[in-house]
Amino acid sequence: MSDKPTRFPVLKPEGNVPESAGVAEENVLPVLLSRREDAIGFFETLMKGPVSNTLGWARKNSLFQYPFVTACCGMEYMAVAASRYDVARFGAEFPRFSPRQADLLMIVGTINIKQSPILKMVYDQMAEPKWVMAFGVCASTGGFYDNYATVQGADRIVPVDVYVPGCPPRPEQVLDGLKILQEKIQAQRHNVATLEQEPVVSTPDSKRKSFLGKLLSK
Amino acid sequence: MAQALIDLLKEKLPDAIVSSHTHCGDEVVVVKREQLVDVIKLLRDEPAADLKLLAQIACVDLLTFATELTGGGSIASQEAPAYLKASQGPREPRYQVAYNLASVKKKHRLRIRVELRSDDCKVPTITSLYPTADWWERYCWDMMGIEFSGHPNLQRLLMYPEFVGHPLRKDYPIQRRQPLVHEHDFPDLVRGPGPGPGGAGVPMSQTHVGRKNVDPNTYE
Amino acid sequence: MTQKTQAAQAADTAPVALNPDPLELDDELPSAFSKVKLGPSHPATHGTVRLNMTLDGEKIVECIPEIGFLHRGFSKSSENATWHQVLPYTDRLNYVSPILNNVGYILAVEKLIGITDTERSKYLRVIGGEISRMCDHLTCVSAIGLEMGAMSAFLYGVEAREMLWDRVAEMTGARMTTSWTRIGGVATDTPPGWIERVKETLPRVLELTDELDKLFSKNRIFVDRTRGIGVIGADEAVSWGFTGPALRASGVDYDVRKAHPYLVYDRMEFEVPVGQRGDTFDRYLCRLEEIRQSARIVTQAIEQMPPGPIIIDDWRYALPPKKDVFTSIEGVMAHFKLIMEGIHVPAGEVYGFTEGSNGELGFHIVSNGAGKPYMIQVRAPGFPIVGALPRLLQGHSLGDLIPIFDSINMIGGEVEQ
Repeated sequence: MSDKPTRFPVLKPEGNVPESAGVAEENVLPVLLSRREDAIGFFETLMKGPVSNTLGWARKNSLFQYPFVTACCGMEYMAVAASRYDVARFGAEFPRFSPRQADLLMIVGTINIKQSPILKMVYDQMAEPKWVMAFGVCASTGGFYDNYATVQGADRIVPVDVYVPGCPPRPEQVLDGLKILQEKIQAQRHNVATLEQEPVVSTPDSKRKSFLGKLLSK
Repeated sequence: MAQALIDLLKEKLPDAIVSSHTHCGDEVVVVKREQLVDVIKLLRDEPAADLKLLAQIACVDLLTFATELTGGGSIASQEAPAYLKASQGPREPRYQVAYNLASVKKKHRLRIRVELRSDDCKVPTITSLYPTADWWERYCWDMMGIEFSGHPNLQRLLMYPEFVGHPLRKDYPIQRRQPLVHEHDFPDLVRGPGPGPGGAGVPMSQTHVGRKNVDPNTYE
Repeated sequence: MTQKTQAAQAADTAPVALNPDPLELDDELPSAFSKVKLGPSHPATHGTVRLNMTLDGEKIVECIPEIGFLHRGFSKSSENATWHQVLPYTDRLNYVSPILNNVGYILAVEKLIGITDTERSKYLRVIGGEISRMCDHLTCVSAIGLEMGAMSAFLYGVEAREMLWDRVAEMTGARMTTSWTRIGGVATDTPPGWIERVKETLPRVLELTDELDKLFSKNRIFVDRTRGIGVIGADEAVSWGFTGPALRASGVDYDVRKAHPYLVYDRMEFEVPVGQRGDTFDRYLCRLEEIRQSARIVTQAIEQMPPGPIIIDDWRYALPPKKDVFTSIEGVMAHFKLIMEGIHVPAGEVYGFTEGSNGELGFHIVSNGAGKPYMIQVRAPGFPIVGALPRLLQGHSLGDLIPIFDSINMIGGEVEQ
C-alpha cells in the first residue's frame, strides 16, 4: 500500500467496516507525521497567519464568478443571483463574463464532450488564484446522462473545489456550497506575492544561442 | 380528415405510393424514394393540401425491432437470446425516414415515410422545397447516417467533426465516448455490483479494481 | 451657388479612376471582413450555441450557428429507460417549462396506447402546463431585458417566476424538474389550501407582468432596439418551420391549443395574441400577452376542475394504489410488472404534438411492444427557429443580434436534445 493517505474511500473485499481487522491499519495516519505538520503549521500561522487570514477573508468575500452556464442549472443559477436568494450578500455578486477577470468558475450544467475543450480553455485562461464550483450533478459526475455525449463530471477535465449536487440544486444548497468554498478559501494559505520560477522550457540545442550570438546572427 | 390527402395522392401520383394506413389518428403514406420530392412538392403546392409546415424529419433504425425486449433501466436491457437473434435475418429495410407535414391553414397533417435498406441509405433532399429541411436532414445524417443527396451542406450538426460513427444507430453502444480532451480517470471509483458496465456480474470481492500505480492525489 | 467650372463639371461626371496609391485621403480604407466566433460560453447565447460571424465592421455579413454543445443524448437515453423513466429526461428538454414537456410526452404515449386520462387530471395538466408556460415567458422577457442591460426588469421577472415555482413545488415536489405526469394521469394532487394560494399568487404575478410591460413596451431604448429588427414574413416563417410565438408574431394565427384542441383547452376561453410585423418587438409582446392569457386559463381551470381520481384505474398502465399493493395479490403483481418490466405500449408509431411554450412540441415515438420506447425523437420548437437564424440576421448589425437571439428563446436543452 502506498504510504500517502488515500484520498478516496477504497472499497475493500471485506467491506469498509472500520472494525474489520484488515482495513484498520491502512487508514491510520502515522502519529509523528501529523504532529510535525501541526508544529510547522503553528509557526507559520504565527508569522504569516494574519496576512494569510486577511487575504483569505478578502478573497472569499469578493468572489468574481464566471458562470459557465450550459443547461437547466442555469435557471437555478438565475434564481440564486436574483433578489430572493441573493448571492450578492455573500460578496459573489457580479458575474464577470471574462475568464481574465474572474476567480470562481462555476460550472453550471452538463458538460458535453463537444464543450469540454472550451471548458478547459476557459479554465486555463483564468489567473491564479482560482476556484471551481461544480454546480449540479451533471457537472459533478455527469448526472443521469451516462451516454456517448456527456463528460462524466467536470472534474475529469478541470480540478473542482466544491461540488454542489442536485438536479437542479435548490438555491439554498448552492449558497451552502458557496459557504463551504468560502471556508476552504479562508483555510488556504494565501501569500501576498509568490516568487514563481520561470517554467523550464526545453530548447533544442540547435536553437540555443548566446545573446551576442543572437545579435550577430540573423 | 387527412384521408382526403391520401386520396389526392392516389389520384395524382398513384405509382409513388407503396402503402398507406391510419394508426392512432395519424395518416401515414409510404412512398417510393425516387418520387419523394414530387410527392412532397404536390402536397405543398396543391391548394387543397397546403402542407406548408414541415414539422419534423424523423429517422428510425429498425435493426433490433423484433429482438429488443422488455426491461428498462431498472434491470438493464434484456436482449433476446442468441438463438432468437440468429434465427432472424438482418432486418431489411433497416431505416425509415418519416416526414411529418402539417398545414397551418387547413389544420390537417400527414406523414410521408420512406423505407431504406442498410446498404443503400440515400434519400433525395427536400431543402429546395422547405428551407427548414436543411437542419433536419443534417440531424438525420449526424445521428443515423442517412445520406441526403443534393443537400448543400451535409455535415454533422450536433456531434463534433472528430466523432466517428452515428450514435442513434442501434449498433452504436450508448456508453462509447470519444473524448476530445484528456480526461482524468478515477480508477478506484467503482460502480458496484450488478448488471451493466463497471460491475457486470463481477463478484463483490473483485470490485476493488484499479491501476495500482496511479496516484489519485494528482491529476495525471 | 457658385457656378462650377466646366472642368469641375467634367470631373464630376467622368468615371473615377482607381487610385493605386492607398494613402490618398479621399479613398476608402482597405478593409477585410473579420471573423468572430460568439460563444459557446457566452451569457447571451444561453450558453450553448456558437455563432460563426463574418462582420463588416458592425454589420453582420454572414452568421452560421453551430449547435451541439448541449447534446445530451436524449433519444438514446430514452431507449434505455422504461416509459416512465423517460419523464425526467423530458423535463430537461425545455427546462424552463418542464410540465409542458411532461404533458406533451405523456399525451403522445397515451395517443399510442389509445387511452385518455381522468377529468380531474386533464384540468390539473392544463393548470400545471399553463403555470409552466407563464414561467417560460417570464424568463424569456426578463432575459431580453437583462441581455440588453436592464437588470431590474430581470429581477422582477425572476421574482414572479419564484412565486410560481413555489406553487409548483407545493404541488409536484420540485421547483423546476417536476416529472409530474404519468400515463393515465398525474402523480400528485393539489395539496390542501393550494387553490387559494394560487388565487393569491396569480394577481401578484400579473402585477409584476404589468411592471415588465411598463418598463419595456414604451421604453424608447427598448423599442428602438427591437422594432423592425429581425423581421420575417408569414409565409416565409411557415416555410422555415416556425411555430409558436415566433410564428404568431408574423401574423399567422396558429396555436395547437386552438387548432387541434387537446385536454380541456376547448372548454377554456382565451385569446391567442397574434402580431403584425414579425419583428423582435412583436415576438416579445406576444409572449407578454400570453402570460396574461395563461393566467386566465388557470383561473378558469381552477373554477371548472371537478373532484375525482387523478389517475386512471387501469392497472396495465397506472400503478395500483398502495393499499391494493399491500393487501391484494393482483395489486402486488401489477406493481411488480409495471416497475420491473415497464408498461407495455402496443407496437406502432405516433407523432404526438402539443403547444409548448416556444411552439409545437412534437414527439415522434416508435414502440415495438416492449416496456421501453424503441425510439423517441423530439420535435423541438426552437430547432427550426435557430436554423433560421442566418435568415433573421440578414442585414443587421451586431447590436441587433442579441435582441433577435433572445426573442426566439432558444432553449439549449430542447434544440440539442
